[in-house]
Amino acid sequence: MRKYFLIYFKTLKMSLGNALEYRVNFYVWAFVNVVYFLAVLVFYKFFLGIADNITGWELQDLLILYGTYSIFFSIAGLTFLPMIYGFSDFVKNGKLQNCMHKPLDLLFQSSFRWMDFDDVYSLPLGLIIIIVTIINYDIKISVAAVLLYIFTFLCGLLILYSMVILVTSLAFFYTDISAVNPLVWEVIELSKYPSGIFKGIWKFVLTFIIPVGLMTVLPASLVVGLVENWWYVIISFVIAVILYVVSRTVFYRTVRRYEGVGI
Amino acid sequence: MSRKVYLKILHLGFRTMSEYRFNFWVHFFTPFFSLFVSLNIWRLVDLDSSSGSLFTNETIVPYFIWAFITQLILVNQHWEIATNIREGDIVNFVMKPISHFGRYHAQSVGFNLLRFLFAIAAAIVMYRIQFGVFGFRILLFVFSMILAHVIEFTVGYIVGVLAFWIKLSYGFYNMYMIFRYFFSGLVVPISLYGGLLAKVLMYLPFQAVFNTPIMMVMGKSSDLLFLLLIQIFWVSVLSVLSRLIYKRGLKKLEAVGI
Repeated sequence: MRKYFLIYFKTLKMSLGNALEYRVNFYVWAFVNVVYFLAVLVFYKFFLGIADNITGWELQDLLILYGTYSIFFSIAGLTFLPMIYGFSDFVKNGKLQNCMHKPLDLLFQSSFRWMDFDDVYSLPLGLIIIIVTIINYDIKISVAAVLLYIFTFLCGLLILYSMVILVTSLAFFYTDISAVNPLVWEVIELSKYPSGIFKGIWKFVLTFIIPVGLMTVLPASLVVGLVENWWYVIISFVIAVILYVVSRTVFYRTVRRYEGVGI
Repeated sequence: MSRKVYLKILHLGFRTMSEYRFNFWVHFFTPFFSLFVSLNIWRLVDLDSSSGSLFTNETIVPYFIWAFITQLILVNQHWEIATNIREGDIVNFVMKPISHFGRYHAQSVGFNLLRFLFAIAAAIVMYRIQFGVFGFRILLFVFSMILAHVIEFTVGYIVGVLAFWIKLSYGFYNMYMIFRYFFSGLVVPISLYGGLLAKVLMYLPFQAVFNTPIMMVMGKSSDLLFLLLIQIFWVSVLSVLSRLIYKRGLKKLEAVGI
């Protein structure tokens, strides 16, 4: 296990070096993150100006949700999310073959090839948004709520990681899956909205089939006291574990389709 | 000769699409998500009670369907263009008697041809469903939608050629996307912003991508000419800008030709 952590931190350091090589882009992203937050804030304010709330979520609740969303995707970017970028080339160019010879878990090597620093600013920004909102709106939070927040947050990360593995496994069937990136981001964007806006079959799909609603909305709803059903905490854990086992199995089964000539 | 070359590139783009059909279909279905989110969010708002809006609870659904149809023809190739410059492959283009912009545009149109045809067919069907008859406005919509496509592609092209100066330029494209997402009419109709903000947004290129085409079918007749002129203005400005930036960028190009 220690070996994997060491490799991860080495890769993290190298990825930071690469990101800093393109300094302008690195700093533009800081601006992008702040502008995005301000635009979301304008959107929330505007929307709450014409609707009293969004399925019971008021401005302070939405800010906690957005803060959670920012932290969530910043951490995902610094760990497994880049797996979907360029995995097609990784398969197409035969680079995966190099990994197969190494005495390391193949899924680990495929998942943590590099880390994305584009959204690294969202991490402190998200934390600041949450802290300032809690102080300004005098939101009372119990220790249990904080612990459950962390627990469901980690389950959410495992859910997203599993979904990323499943999607990237498609590269073994279709080779070029670059169009999947925008689709994955469209799905991820859904986790920025309270799941109450989706009704009927869609609510079921986004909770149990593509569990976007469990990724960021559940932790945020635990903090602001808007959790619809406490069973969701257990469901989130169960779904995360099942999805991870399934996605890992699918990855190792589909990798058998991989063909490389090793040149 | 030149036209034949672009047609050949367009054909190659089409063949690439048929080779990577999975990519094409994923790309095809992605805009459905925006439509899905918009319809779910706006279902919660009672627009009939908000004053000064062009839209009501009844017209907001067609509005987002028109936005979805417009989204189908928006494409960009900023990543490919920047990679081509960053890795030095642009040298191959410099020696060919074809336009750099034209080459990428033809390839992109070829790859997305089926999607574009679907968008036009969907527009005709939608118009028929909403208004019951065929009218001049559907032609205006298609024309404006094509201009929106040119704006979107040109912005992507400009960001791509920035790679002559800054090797990774996609941060700028994301910046554009943020403004376009919130201030183009994709998630909020511009008229709903009201006041000074709505007035200022009308002059910016973002609204020319979604708001203008939609207004061609749903807006007041008195506003159409103004909106079209603004859109044509931005197409012209961005086209000139893209050529200037590319020419200046070429001067910075260094290649050893091996």
